[in-house]
Amino acid sequence: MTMIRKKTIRKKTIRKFAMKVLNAAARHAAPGTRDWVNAMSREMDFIENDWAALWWALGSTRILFKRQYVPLADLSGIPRAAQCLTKTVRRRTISGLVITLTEAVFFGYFFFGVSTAMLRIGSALTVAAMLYMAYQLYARRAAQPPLDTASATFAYRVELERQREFHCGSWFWSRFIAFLPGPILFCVGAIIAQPESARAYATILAGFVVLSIWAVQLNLSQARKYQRRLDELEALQR
Amino acid sequence: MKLRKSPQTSIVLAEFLHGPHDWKYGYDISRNTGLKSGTLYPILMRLAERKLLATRWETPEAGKPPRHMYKLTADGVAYAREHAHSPVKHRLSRPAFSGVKHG
Repeated sequence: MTMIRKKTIRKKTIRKFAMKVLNAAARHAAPGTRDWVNAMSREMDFIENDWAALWWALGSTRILFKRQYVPLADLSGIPRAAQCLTKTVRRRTISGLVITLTEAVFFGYFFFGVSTAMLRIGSALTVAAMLYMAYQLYARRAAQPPLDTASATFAYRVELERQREFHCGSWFWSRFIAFLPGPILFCVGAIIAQPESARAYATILAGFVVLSIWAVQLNLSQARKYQRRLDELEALQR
Repeated sequence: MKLRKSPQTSIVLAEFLHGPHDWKYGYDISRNTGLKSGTLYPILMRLAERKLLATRWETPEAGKPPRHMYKLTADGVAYAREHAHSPVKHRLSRPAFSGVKHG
């Protein structure tokens, strides 16, 4: 009797956990994906085996990682889309600020520690570029969107435009141009100051150039992504 | 968005070709194809995005939650006829899950 009871309790726990997994997935799903996670959730009622139900539920979490964004079906999904965008931008702002300010401190330390003028200028320019990037990140931080559809739609559009501008146009290129000279001067200065380590610094410099090219690609592709969402929003409003 | 012509997509298309005018449930497709939910649903989502798959929520009966249903569109049927693999040849060795509750 006790064995049967224990088994029943275990089965209930597995099923409960599976449901919790699916509910969590639905909460964190992008607006367009939510309907699909709900669809998976409904199917779970027809899976008799509890372990199979758990595997089914775990599959739903895979969707969250596989599918970052699904186009909105109608305007009702906009308040949630706006909130998701705010969350994404906030994460970017926080991680960006941590990285830029850490680098500013790091190169600030070099400024006082290095011996040659070129290294010192390179450090100072990098610190200035990092502070400028931090300012841009702060200036383009996201505001909390309103909850009603009409206001959220307007706020969503404004935020998409702001973020698109952050990744292209004068915002991006000024940031990019400000960032380039400091590390280049620093590496060249290090090559001159320490010819025995020239190869290592040249490799760092080459890596920096490759990363810079990648950063351009990444930012422009982000700008295109925001533009696609703006187009999608416009199509929905028509 | 591009539709990846993966073997799994072909299997799903082949499954839909069994009764192309019938609405199908996600779990039934999963059982018949042997694809796990994490593989099946992204395929269904891509097909729906490309307007190859029609989706709708079943009209709820008393006490039963509605289920999401899928059917190929006319374009979807044409696409499936072109790209689907033979389900016998390509079906995975065993179903993903067992134990169905017939609702």
